[in-house]
Amino acid sequence: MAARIDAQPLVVLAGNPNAGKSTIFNALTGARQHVGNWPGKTVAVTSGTARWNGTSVTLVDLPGTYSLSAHSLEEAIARDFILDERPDVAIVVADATNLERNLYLAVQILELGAPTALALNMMDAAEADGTAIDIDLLQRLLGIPVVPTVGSKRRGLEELLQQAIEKAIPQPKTVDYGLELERAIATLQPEVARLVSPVAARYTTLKLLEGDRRVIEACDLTADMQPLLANARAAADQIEAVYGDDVELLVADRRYGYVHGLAHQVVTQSRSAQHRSTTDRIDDLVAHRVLGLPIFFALMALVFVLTANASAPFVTWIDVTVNGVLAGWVTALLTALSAPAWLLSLLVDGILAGVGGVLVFLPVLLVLYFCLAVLEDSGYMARAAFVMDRLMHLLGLHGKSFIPLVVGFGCNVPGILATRTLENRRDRLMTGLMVPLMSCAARLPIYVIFAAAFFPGHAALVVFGLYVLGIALAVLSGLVFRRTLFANSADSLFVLELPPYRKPALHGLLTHMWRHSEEFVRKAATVILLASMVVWALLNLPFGVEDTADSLFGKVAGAVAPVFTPLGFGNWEATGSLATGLVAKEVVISSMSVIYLGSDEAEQAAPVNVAADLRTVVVGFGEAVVESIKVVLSILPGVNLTNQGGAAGDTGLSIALQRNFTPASAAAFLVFVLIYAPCVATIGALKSEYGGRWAAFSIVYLTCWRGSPASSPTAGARAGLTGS
Amino acid sequence: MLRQILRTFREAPGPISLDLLAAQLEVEPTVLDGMLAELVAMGRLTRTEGHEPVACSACNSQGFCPYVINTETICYALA
Repeated sequence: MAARIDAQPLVVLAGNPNAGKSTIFNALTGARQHVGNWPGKTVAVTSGTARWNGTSVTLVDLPGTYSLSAHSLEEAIARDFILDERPDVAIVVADATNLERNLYLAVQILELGAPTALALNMMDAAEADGTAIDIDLLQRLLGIPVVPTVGSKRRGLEELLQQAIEKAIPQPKTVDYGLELERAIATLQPEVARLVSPVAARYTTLKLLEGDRRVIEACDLTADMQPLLANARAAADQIEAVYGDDVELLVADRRYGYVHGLAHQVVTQSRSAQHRSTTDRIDDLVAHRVLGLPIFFALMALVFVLTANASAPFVTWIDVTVNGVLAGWVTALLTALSAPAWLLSLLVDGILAGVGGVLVFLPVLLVLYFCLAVLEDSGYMARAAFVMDRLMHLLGLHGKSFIPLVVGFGCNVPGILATRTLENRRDRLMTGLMVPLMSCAARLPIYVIFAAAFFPGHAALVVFGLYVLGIALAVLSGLVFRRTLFANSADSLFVLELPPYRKPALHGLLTHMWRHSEEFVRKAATVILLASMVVWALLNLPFGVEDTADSLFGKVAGAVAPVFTPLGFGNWEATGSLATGLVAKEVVISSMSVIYLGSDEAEQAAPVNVAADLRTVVVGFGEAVVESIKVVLSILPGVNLTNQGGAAGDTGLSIALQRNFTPASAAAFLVFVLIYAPCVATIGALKSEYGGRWAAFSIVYLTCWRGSPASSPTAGARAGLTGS
Repeated sequence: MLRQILRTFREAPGPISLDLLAAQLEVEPTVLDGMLAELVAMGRLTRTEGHEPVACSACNSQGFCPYVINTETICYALA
């Protein structure tokens, strides 16, 4: 087998079969070749000596392979040689006429941590085929020298050798393998780094998770590696349970996605339109430089119109069922049992009003998550990041940073955790600081109830406007950060993975929808239940208090309330509710329900007619389904099946709010909810990801936004929210 | 993409050729070829002999014509 000769540089040539690797090898070495077998193997190895800059270079022609997965002898030999012999440079010879396929091997070799250069061979054939490759961009994206060559005509070979030896540096390429896998890699990698060189640690960790037999056998030789192997097995089992596929497949799938995104960014085909796939044709439109952004905002507007309108009939139905029928039954039952008045008040005014007041909005979240799942599973969301790329570059960020922001629409906590997929700390930090300005799903019920109560004809538009305002403030914050906190940092460059468009499977959509929404239900049964009980207790202390304004809650909130008078909602009810929102934003609504509905209606044991109530519930559900379908169909151009504005109908809480807010103060309240301090879970995530100082900074800078004119009632009026 | 390929095979009534799969998934056959090779290496797919429907203008034998065209081709199926 070829090995190092004294201090002579060792260069290996790797590549797919028929990529022209041997042609380049022959051209570089001439007659100075030696053919032998790999030790103990039947696979032939050719090595030779090339002359470069007056010195000799040992060149080894690795077996042609499509991948380094080590499923075949050739693949195992190529991989082991790079890992064991540590060549000074690995030159990957890629067929430029079929770059996407060839890049898969190149990315795997980069992941091995070897100093690498890429030869784009057969460039003449690629150009004749109408294929243009942005070599400069490819160099920057991969971080390695890329040299166009024509091996058969000996073009570019001198430069290839020169660039490879002088400029190739060890730079392990990091493909983003998704949250679950990246978490497992981060956990195991430090221990693996004790076994192998630091540059190969990530690759070896990945192989352990994949269950690679050769790597496991190598580790298995050491007795104290057993806990590491057991941990890797456990992590792999957990990942497989989440995704329903084995880790090896998931890794290859993500890597192909990365390579596809890379090829999409650097290769331009000038072939006629009839050879283009549907994915390419859709991308021509939705990823268009000019049209892409308006299409993105139009799609997001459609999502929020659907969310607000299609869920509205179900919101009303749950309100009637929980706060009408169920509350009536509980009242009648407890009255019949002669239960004490405080218990009746706790159950009806505290728990049912609080928890029910939040659960009413479950349909809103279900529709929102369903729509986002459609965009995600169809492959559009990756394009959204692509479209936002230019906008994000204004902030010195990459389109990839947009993904954590979109995740933040669901919940800010996973949005902050998703910044881990970004490659440098500056990007992670900047994106993480912007995430709390994304309107999470917990804020959506607040938007919906206020929008429906005060802007009934334009509720969906108001909700959408708040989301857009959040994005605008995030962009503005990013611009300020870029010019102040991160002024000296260099912009980063990433590859965006672009999966092909596909028809989303209904089962997958429903699974996504429920997986995200169940957290909301879980919170309702825990945090919100507890918060409702606490708020109810504080509203009834000291014992026997007649007016809730005189209660402990009312007194404390009332003392702080004047601070909010300039914003138009300087009353103790709004102030107290906002304070409880620091626990979780949904608690704002549950607190308002307890405060307004609890004090609003005295419980009376009205006679219960179970049959009539059940009829109300069942018929009401049927009507909600029909009404929701009508509302959805009415979105189609030229179709109008409903006369409603589409927002949630009047609930007990919305009527109470109309009595306590004006449209101007409601608008200010909504903007305030968008930008005031994040909930404790988000602050905790900021602290764990970036440290306590940055978490504190996040609260401070959001407070600065809070004091801005954006949250004043006059701003709402200027924006047209308050109507006339 | 690999997961989408496997899903297509799960829903297919039988083996599928490279060209047919490439047309169905709208991926360049040269790119898809590498992915199929990887799936075969992983033991998820097998290479097999199969028939591929050929659209002859005057014949509805769907490529299974024993006289004129030999449509046997390399196909892939779930392992």
